[in-house]
Amino acid sequence: MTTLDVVRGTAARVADAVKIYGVGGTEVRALDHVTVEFPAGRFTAIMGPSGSGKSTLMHCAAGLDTLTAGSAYIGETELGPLGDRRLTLLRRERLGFVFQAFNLVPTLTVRENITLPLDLAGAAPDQEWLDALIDVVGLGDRLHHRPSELSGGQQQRVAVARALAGRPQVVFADEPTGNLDSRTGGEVLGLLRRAVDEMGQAVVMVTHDPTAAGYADEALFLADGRLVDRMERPTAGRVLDRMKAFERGRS
Amino acid sequence: MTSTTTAVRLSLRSLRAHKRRLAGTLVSILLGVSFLTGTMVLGDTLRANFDTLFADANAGTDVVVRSADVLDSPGTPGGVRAPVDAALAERLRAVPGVAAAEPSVQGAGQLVGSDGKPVGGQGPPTLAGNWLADTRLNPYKLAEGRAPAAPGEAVVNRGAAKAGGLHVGSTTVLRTPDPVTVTVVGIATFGDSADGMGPSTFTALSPGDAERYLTPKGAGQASSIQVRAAGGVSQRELAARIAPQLPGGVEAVTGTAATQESTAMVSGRFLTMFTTLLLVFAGIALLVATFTIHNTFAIVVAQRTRENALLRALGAVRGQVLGATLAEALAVGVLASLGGVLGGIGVAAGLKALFSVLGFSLPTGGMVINTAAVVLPLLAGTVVAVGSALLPAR
Repeated sequence: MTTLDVVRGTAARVADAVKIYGVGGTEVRALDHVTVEFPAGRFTAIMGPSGSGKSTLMHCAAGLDTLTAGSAYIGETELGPLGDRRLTLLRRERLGFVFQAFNLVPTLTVRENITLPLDLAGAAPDQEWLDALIDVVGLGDRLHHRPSELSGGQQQRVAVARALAGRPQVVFADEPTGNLDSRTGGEVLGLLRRAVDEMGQAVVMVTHDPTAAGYADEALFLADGRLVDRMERPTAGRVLDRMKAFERGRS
Repeated sequence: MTSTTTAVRLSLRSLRAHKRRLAGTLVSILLGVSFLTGTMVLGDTLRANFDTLFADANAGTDVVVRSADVLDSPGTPGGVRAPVDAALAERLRAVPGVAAAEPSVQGAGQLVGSDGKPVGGQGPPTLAGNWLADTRLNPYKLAEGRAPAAPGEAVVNRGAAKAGGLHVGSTTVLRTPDPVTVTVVGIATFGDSADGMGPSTFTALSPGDAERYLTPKGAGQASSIQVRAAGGVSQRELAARIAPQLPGGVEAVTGTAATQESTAMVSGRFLTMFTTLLLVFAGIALLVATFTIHNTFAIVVAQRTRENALLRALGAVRGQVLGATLAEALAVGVLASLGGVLGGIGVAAGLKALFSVLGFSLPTGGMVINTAAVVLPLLAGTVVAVGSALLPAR
């Protein structure tokens, strides 16, 4: 496959994002004035210890949660003013999701799970694209199986295929390898990497695993709701060193 | 593949994946709907059967001549009418178009059974009267024996004979309320086959005995004159011809009208109480079913929380998620209600057979299934199912 032209522009971004949970004495500032861009055609990892606000950042950027202050954009569309219905339609038309667990509807087959967002939208799937995707994720012989008949790694590969099926503007992945061993996790991450390299897909992945971050083009580091560092072309080793440095700095 | 069918497919898959839960819900709706349908069908059937029975039994009576004065009487539906002159029958026979006219005496008379106890107890009406010689005017038909001719002879209806252990040849007492010793000379059916007019008992005496024991004056009086028309004369025409011959305060009504009155009386008296009781049971059954169904769907919705959250994240609008739950409820509701309606018709047939075995003399005849008895339970079952799903799903 030839290298695609680097897609220019911003797939998603948040500007001066603040997210506060609770009120008064129990107030928790999950995001504290974060401004970040997720470029098109790039694989961005959001790193940070638990409680750093990395999942909140992803949820707010993807329209699954709303910001207390600041703004979030998918492409040029600002999410803040959209109502529930338009946010829902935006998610299914322009975003793909891979979650850590319970990614698939247990009563639907693999194939039906992959086309679920398209079916919900009433859109006809691009058959050629679908076949290519199924080929890439290597589940051609499992299309009529139920999720319970698949291993954890296979289930996550189905989720990746589903996220890519509608050619979304951005794929958001929340700890996609959190429940997998390192080998099957590597397969899932390799798929996301290929989607970026071969399909020009923008991917935003939340993870606390330095190895997973090693697959990304850029790693962002969050701590206490603030963007504290970023690293171009991260490797597992460098990310681990950086994380250790944070831990020392905090203690 | 449209977005709606996705919701429907999700719900159907969910149904198939939870067969046991589905079975429980189906059974509870089915039972509730069955009871409701059964009650309604049984009520309709009995009402129709009674109508047919009365119409058949009284088919030969074309005009009834009776007092126009009705006195309200507690305990006697339709009130009490003043007697008419029995000799009027003789005069009416001379009216052109009259084939037969007979005085009919009707009163109360409680039979005493072979065990010495009153037949029918204190419940259903205990009727007594004269045996009408004209077989077409007489709603009762002899099944055994002969008509009463001499004083002290009586014909009893088959239901009363069975209940009292009486046979042709038995001697017993009829309380009018003065005790009259009677010998059973015949057993009669109401119409062609019924054991009696509902659960009531009927004792027919000779005309002389009937006037003597059942009318206030003891002779020359009748409750009404039953008239049969000659061929080609309509009921209305005959009534019009008879009317000018009548003394003041006496009216002529068509047999059809008189039958409707007595049918309404019996329906009102027995069936309304009967079907009300059954409807109460059906209501309780449906109420219990409602709780069961509601509970089941509350569990379904709770179990679906994670699945629904995933669907919402992937772009299912609220309507689609709600639609999946409602489609499931609708499928279950319609399916179970259909089964319930079929079951209910069976329940009605079974109840009817059971009541007959228990000694209620119900008229025979086919099952009557009205639209309302099908549509109402069908709606009730479906609405309960969908409503139960909607409440927790909101």
